[in-house]
Amino acid sequence: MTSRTKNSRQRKIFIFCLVIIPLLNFLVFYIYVNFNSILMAFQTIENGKSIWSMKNFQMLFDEIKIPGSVFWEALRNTGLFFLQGFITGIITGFIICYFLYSGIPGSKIFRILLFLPGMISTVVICKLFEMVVGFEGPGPVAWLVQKLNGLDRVPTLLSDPRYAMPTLLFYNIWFGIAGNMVLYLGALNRIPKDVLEYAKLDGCGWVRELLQIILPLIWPTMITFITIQFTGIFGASGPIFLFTQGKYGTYTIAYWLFEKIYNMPENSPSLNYASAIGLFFTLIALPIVFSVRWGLGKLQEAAEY
Amino acid sequence: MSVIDETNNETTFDRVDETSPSPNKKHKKLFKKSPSRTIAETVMFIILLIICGSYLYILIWGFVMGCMTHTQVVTDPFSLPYEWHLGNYIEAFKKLEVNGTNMIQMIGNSLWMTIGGGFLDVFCSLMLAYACGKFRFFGRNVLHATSIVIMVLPIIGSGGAYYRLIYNLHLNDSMLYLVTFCTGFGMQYIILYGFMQNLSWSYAEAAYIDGASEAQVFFKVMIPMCISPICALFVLRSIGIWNDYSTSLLYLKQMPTLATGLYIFKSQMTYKVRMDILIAASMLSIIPVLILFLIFNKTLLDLDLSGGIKG
Repeated sequence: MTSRTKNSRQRKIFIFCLVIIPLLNFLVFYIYVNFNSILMAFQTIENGKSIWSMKNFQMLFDEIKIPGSVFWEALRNTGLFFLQGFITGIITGFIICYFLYSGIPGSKIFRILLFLPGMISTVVICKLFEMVVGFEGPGPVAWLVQKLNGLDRVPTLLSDPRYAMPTLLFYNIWFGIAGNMVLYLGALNRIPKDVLEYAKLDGCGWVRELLQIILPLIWPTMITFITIQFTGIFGASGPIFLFTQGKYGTYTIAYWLFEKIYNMPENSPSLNYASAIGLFFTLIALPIVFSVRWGLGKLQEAAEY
Repeated sequence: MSVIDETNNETTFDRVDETSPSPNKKHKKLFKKSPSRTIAETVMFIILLIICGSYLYILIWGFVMGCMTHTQVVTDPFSLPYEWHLGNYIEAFKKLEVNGTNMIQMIGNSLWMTIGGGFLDVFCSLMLAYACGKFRFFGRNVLHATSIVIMVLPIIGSGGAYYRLIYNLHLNDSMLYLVTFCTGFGMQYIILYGFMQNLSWSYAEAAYIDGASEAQVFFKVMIPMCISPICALFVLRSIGIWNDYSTSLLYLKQMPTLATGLYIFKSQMTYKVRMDILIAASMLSIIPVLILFLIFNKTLLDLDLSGGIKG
């Protein structure tokens, strides 16, 4: 065997060793799981045995027929969370990162502090937030809401159907306002500074700089962010499990699915129902995501640099 | 003013005016901020000050609340402690117990999940990124395209099938659950792939010439050159695993992590819960994360995550 052949063989063995573990994991925990999920959607468990059935979809469509059902509540709330996530994650996150990138006073400290909510456990933040808004007793935010709305009593924001969803949305906005900060700052740091200086020399204002220079330059990255945001369109949610467990009109699709799985035995028909719900929404989301991806690519040409 | 040099070439210079601005002042005048930009920056500064101030306030208030008595936490949590009970932080180690698991055990569970899971996740992504980024082999393009595609495929509701698989494979309530972290694909792969693409192959070639094997080139040449993004990704992933409560809640009920333990402790009957202990334990749980973040914040915030995902 020549040295070259031996080296080539060694390289092939080495590459095989590199890819085999991730590939096996992908085949088992992604391909098999998703394939089985599709099959489970068309099966149910009766007398401990798995049988083919359309029962899951019948239950789902029965749920859809009822106007005030969990399905419609979950869909509405998911839409609200998605919209909130889009505005804070894509739009306001981008604007905030632009100003941090431009170097407003204190930008270095702000960058560190804005990262804090992502570092701290959601369980801890939720507990502290609960006390601030008032869950088991009035909190300062609840007092503020009473004053602003002229209410007779201090509302319990997280256990009042009128205020629970707005409170959850506020939580998501307040602690997720710079959610994509690291991604945006990375993209902005790649922009050549000369381009921005030339624009300033030509009298370009900051709004034009933001919309007509920076945005086209980072557009490919923006497309990826927006596509990923739409990928999670039906998974958009807040910390429902930690705050309300779906009560007070706060169901989302993600929590609805989690509830079908949590504390269930592994042969529970509830798991099959969750698969059917998931398949239903996946089929709706697929054309939406691909249309958005196609549309965004047509909307703005990417500038190469 | 003009000067004629030896070759009879005339060169004209502008007269130097001693009253003209210096280059720095000219630069500042050229790049002077417009009034609208100044207003916008001021507004943004105030908004960020309020938001970041609230984060700091909640953090500090949490640590102060951990020094209160249970009664004060329930009735008057927004005042300073009537008596400072720093001992709550030590008592948390003794009193916080969930399903027969004490706080030390929960920290142990969190540690093996965090370190093991973080290491496996990043290392598998590194292996795949190195293979796809530096070598040409059969299926390379499919693997790379797969990684991109699965990030944008809106798969919903596979949790039921995943749950059933974990229990059927007996990975629940076991350290074997760590195998689920050997993913390879995902955002970490994309970042490391982008980094690998930009890494020069000359170092590897020099090592091959010196007789290094493929494994030696990978471990002794390539990994040291990628140490910065590897560390940043490991820290990010570890923090995510440390704070994750839902995975342990679903699959590691007999081995709860600290985050899960705090949730279960909190959700027990209210009159049984020592709120002062809960708050103290909660604040203790974020100390390792804060320390990691303070050490690595520059590396994390300077990480270029967009290079590999452009387009």
